[in-house]
Amino acid sequence: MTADIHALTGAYALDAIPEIERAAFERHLAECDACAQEVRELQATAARLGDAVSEVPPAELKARVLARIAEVRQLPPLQHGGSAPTRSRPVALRLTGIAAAVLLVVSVSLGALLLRNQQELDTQKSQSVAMVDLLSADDVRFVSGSTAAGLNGTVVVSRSRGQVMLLAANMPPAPDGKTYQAWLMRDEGSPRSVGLLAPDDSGRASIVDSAGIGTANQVGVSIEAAGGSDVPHGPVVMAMALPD
Amino acid sequence: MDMAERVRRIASVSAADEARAPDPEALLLRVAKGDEGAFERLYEHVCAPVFGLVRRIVRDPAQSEEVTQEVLLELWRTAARFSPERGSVMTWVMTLAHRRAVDRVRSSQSATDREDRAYRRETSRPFDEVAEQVGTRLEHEQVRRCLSSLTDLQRESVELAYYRGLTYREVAELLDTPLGTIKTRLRDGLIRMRDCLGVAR
Repeated sequence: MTADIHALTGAYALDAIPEIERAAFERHLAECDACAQEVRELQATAARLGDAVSEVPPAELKARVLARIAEVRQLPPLQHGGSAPTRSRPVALRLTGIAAAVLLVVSVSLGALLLRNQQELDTQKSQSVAMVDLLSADDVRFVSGSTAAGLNGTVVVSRSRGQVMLLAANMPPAPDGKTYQAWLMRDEGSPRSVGLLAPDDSGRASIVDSAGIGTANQVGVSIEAAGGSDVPHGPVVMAMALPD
Repeated sequence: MDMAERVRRIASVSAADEARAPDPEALLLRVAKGDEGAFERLYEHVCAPVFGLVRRIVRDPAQSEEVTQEVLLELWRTAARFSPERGSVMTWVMTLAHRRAVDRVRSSQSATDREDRAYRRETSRPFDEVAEQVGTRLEHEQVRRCLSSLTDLQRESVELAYYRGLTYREVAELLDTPLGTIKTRLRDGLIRMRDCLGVAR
């Protein structure tokens, strides 16, 4: 644990961490008992700050809430004596191996042949060159996973070449006026935008980045306003740890 | 028994009832079993802190009521999943309320981010505003006293993050202070509050 990430306990207890950094910090919390204890104490402290600004709501609210509970099913307790996560992780990823990655690489390359627009073709060509470069690196590593929502993601990374490729499949179109944006995240410092991801008609998207990985340890995809953001604001739809 | 005596007795009975404040943990156990009466009592116990906090962050009264309703329904829905080792019921509810309020302002914010940032700058007010509105109950008094024991930067950072729902990056920008400093101030400010309030360790 670095001193810097530990300093985030305060920001976390105050919900002052941008969505995309929260996933990384919660991973850290799961492994750091001292941090988890401190977060609990600081959350209890924050609750006192909240209590201090109490304001009685309008009386009608009570009638509305009591009427609504008649329509809301209560969740059963969790099994196995486990405790619910403080906040559910946006995604649960499981490893599915290299096969999916290779299939996706092939399908993305085939997809390139179908492009008509010259500019797109140029972009695709430079991406293909970078992709071949990356795939031939000595230290190339693959991670694949899928989210609860059925989104498949594969990350191909070479730290020696400072390249990372993200492939996504089964990705629904971004909501109106929104775009998918990929980020490289590290425990300290700002996430770096890798670029926008636009799924094609069959729900596939890819992006290659050669601008260096640095100390990044996670790739994430968030939904941002069209045109993208400087820092992630929107909900995270996918987050994957980068292999070392 | 004369009238005055009866009034005194009735008054002392209701004062005793008042003193026997409902134990939220015990109420929640009953709520988890579907006891709507217990939920109503729990509602009475938590609605003002929840609404006050949500209103502070969201501001708009109608939206604040919506968010408060969401929080209370979530409390009903997930009552059986509360685990006491993670903290008190009150902390759980307030953490949920803060989270929901912040979600509400951030989702409407991303669309109009630039305008919003400019707006926040313009409307930046003296930071003791919150302390001024803190209620008169003893506990509230204690929060006010503890807040005033923080350094200016600690207090401003904590208040902007908690009562306005800003991220630490936004706080850093607003206070024109390096990110790392704000992260540290949020933590050491809260730690000082924790120790001052005597929050159980």
